[in-house]
Amino acid sequence: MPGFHSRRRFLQSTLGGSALVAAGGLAVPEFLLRSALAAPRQGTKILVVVQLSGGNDGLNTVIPYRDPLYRQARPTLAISPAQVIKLNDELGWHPSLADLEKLWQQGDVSIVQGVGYPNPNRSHFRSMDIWHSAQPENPRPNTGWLGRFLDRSSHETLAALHLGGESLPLALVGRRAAAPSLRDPQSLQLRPGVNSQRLRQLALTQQAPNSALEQFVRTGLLTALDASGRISQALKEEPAASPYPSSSLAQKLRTVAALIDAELPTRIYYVSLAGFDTHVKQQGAHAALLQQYAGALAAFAQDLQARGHWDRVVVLTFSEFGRRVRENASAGTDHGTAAPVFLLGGSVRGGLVGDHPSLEDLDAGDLKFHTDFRRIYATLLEKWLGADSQSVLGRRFPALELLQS
Amino acid sequence: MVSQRLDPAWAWTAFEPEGKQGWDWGCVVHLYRRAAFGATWEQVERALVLGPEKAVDQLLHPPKQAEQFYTQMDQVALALLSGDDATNLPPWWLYVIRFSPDPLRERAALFWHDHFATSAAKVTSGMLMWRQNRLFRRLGLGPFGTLLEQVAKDPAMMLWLDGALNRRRRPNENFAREVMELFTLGLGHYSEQDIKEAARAFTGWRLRRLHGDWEFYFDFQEHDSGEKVVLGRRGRWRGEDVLQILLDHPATARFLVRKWCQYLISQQLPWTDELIEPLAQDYRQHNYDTRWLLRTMLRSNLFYSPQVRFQKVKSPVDFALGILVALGGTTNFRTLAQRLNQLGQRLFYPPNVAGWPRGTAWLNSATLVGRLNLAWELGSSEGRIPWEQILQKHELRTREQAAQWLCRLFLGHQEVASQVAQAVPPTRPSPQTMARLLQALAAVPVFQLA
Repeated sequence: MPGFHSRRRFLQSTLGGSALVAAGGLAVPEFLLRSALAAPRQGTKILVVVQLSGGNDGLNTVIPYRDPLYRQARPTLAISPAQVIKLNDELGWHPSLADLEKLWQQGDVSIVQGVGYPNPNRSHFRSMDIWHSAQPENPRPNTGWLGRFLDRSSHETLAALHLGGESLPLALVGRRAAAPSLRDPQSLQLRPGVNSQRLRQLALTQQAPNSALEQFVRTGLLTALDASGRISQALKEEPAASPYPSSSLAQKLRTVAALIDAELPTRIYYVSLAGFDTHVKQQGAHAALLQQYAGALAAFAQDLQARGHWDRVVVLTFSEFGRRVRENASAGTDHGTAAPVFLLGGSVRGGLVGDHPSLEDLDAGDLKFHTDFRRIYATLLEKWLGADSQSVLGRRFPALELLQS
Repeated sequence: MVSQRLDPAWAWTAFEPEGKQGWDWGCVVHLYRRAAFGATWEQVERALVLGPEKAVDQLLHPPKQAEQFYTQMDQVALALLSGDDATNLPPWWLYVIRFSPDPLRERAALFWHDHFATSAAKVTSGMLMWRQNRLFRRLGLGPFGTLLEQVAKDPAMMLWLDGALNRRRRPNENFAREVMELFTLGLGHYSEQDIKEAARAFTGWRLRRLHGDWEFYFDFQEHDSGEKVVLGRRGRWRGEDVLQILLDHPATARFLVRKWCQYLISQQLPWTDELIEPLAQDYRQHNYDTRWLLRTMLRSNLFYSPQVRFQKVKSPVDFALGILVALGGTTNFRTLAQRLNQLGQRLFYPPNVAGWPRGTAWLNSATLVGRLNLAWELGSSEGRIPWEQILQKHELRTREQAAQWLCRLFLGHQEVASQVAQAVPPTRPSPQTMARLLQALAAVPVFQLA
C-alpha cells in the first residue's frame, strides 16, 4: 500500500513544517500557515501541462497524408503515406509518435485541430505570452490563466508546481503569488549553514515595508523554505512503477508521477520541451523531439495507470504556434499559425475534434484557425478543475467535448 | 510603491550632493552595485572622498593596468579555446568579471550579450562566441550604430539567426525579424511586410572560411537588388541601408534607453515616454554614444534618489560576483559556472533570442534555495574569502560588529544587522561564523536586490 505510507509521511513532514512556522514568534503570512496545515485530498483532479517551446510544426505532427497540396508545400519535409501512423483515411501521425499509438487506440487521446486565435502573432514571445495569459488584447500581460485560477481557488503554496530549468512560465503567475519552481529533485535541498527556521525568521526581516519587490522576495523565500522541506520528503518515496526513458522530459514526468503518488496537494504541474524552432534542417530534429515527447508521455501514462492515478490526470500539450505551410529554402519551416493541441488521460474523450485546416484556403501562406485556444482552457477550467471560466478568462467561451462526462 | 509623476528635467540633471547628507555610503554602494559588480571596503572609502562626478568618471575611464589585464585574458582565452570548446568560456568570463580593473566595461559587455543573446548551444564554436564577446567589450561603450553593424556581420550572429542562409530566391526572415523586434525598434513599430522586405535586403550576406576562420562577405549573386520598402522608405536597399533606416527611426533610441534604464536604474519604475524621450533624443544626437548615455544616467538625480534603490533583482552573476568582489575573495570558477547555470544564468548560453528573463523571473523556490546554498558555499571553506585578514584589519571582535560590517558593505546601512547577528553564537567571530553570517544576510530579502 504505497499510497498509505506516502500519505502518512507527507503529513508528518507538513506538521513538522507548521511547528517551525509557529516557533518563529513573528508575524507569518496566513496562507503559509494554512498550507502547512492543509490535509491533502486524495483523488483530486490534476492537470499536467506539457509545453512544446519554439513553435511545433503541426502540419508534420498530424499529417493530411492524402492531400497533394501537402506534398507540394513540403518537397523535402513531407512524410509519405506509407510512413504515417494512420488515425483515419486522411490524417496520420508523424511516425515518431508511435509510442502513443496504444493510448490513441484506448481512447485516451483527444486531438483538437486547427487551434489558434484571431490576428495571430508570429513572435515567439508575444505568441507565448498570448497562450499563457489568454489575453490576446493585452500588450503586456502580467498574469497567466492558471495563475488567475489559483488566485481564486487556493491558498495552498504547492497548488501548482513548475519543473524545469527555465524561468517560471507566465501561465502560473497570479496576482497573489507565483508557483514554486523545481529544477531537479535535488535543487531544493538546503545545505547546512544556518538552519531553516532561522533563515525563515531572517526572510521576515523588513527594510522598506512599501517595496513591492522586497515583498515579492520575502514571499518567495518563505515559499522556497516551505517547499524545500515538503518536496524533499515526498521524493524519498517509492521509485516509479514502470521504467522511463532517460530524456529530460521523461525524467521530469517521472518526478511529477512521484509527487502525484505522494499525494502532494498540487493540482497543476507544468513542464516544457524546447527546440521546436526548426528553421533549418527540420527533419531529424523534429523527429527526435516528437520521439522524446511520445516516449516520455507513454511512460508517464503507464506509470500512472499502474499506480491508479491515470483517470484523475489530464495532460494538455500545446505550442505557441504552428509553422508556415511551405517549407523554406533551408529544409526547415518558418513561424506560422494554427496547430493541433493534444489532451491525454484516462478521463479524456478520445478522438479528433474539429477539421484539419484547409491547405487551399490559406491566410498569407498560413493555416486558418477554427478553434480558439481559450475554448480548451474554458473546458478544462469548468469541467476538470471545477472553476468559473468566465472570471479567469474574462469572458465566456463555449466548452468543447474533450472529457468523458 | 506609488511613484509620483517624475519631472524629466529634474530626473536627468546631474546630482549635486548638499552638505554631508548627500554623498554617503548608501550612494556609493548603490553606484558600485549597479555600474560595477560591487566594491571592496577600501573602494567605497576612496569613492566617498572623490564625490559623485569623479567617482563616475573613474568608472568610465579605466586605469592603465586594464589594457595589460585584457591582453593577458585574451591569451588565456586563446589557450582555453585551442579545441574550440565553448564550455570553457563561462568560467573564463566569470574570472574576467571578478578581476577586471574596468568593471563598467564588463557591465556593458554583459548588457550587450543579453541584448544580442547569441547562444553557443547553436553556434557551437567557442572561438566564434569569444570573437563576438570581444566585440561587446571593445565596442560596447561606443556608438551603437557601429556595434549593431559589427554584430549583424558577426559570424556567430549569422549562424545564430540563420543570416548566412538568407538566399535571393528564398529569403530567411529570422534575422530581419529579430533585428527589428529585439535589437532596435521593439514590438509594435514595424509590420510583417517590413520584415519580408528587410529580409530581401539582407540577402547576399554570407560566411566563408578563410585560413580556417569564418568571415563575413557580400555575395552579389545571392543579393536581391530589387526595390524594397522598409518602414515607409523606398529604395534598392542593402543590409547596411536597413540598419541605417532602423537607427534613423526614433523608436530605436527609446527602446535602447528604456532597456538601459531598466538595467541600471530600476525595474519597477514606470518608464514613461515622457521620462525616456529627452534622454533618447540626446542619445541620437550624440550619435548613439553609449558612454555618454551611461555617464548621464549614472550622474543623474534619479539614479541617486531613494525610490530607485533596491529596485532591481540581482541576476545570478550579480549575486555571486557581488559577494566575491566586495570581500576580495575567489573561488573555483568552473564550479561557480555550474552553480550559476543551476540558478538560471549560463553565460554564452542565453535561453533564447530575447536573452535572459529579467527581474522577478530570476527568483523561484529552487533558485532561492540555490542562492542561500551558494552564499554558504562561497563563504565557507569551499570558497576562498580572506576572512582572517578581514577580521583583523577591520577589528571585528563581536558577532554584532561583524554583522554591522557585512551589512554596511553590501547594503550601505546597518538597519538589519542585529537580526543577522543572531544567526550565530555570541562568540568572537571566526571564518566559519562569518560564512554563516553571510548566508544569514542572503536570507534577508533586500540582499537579493540591487
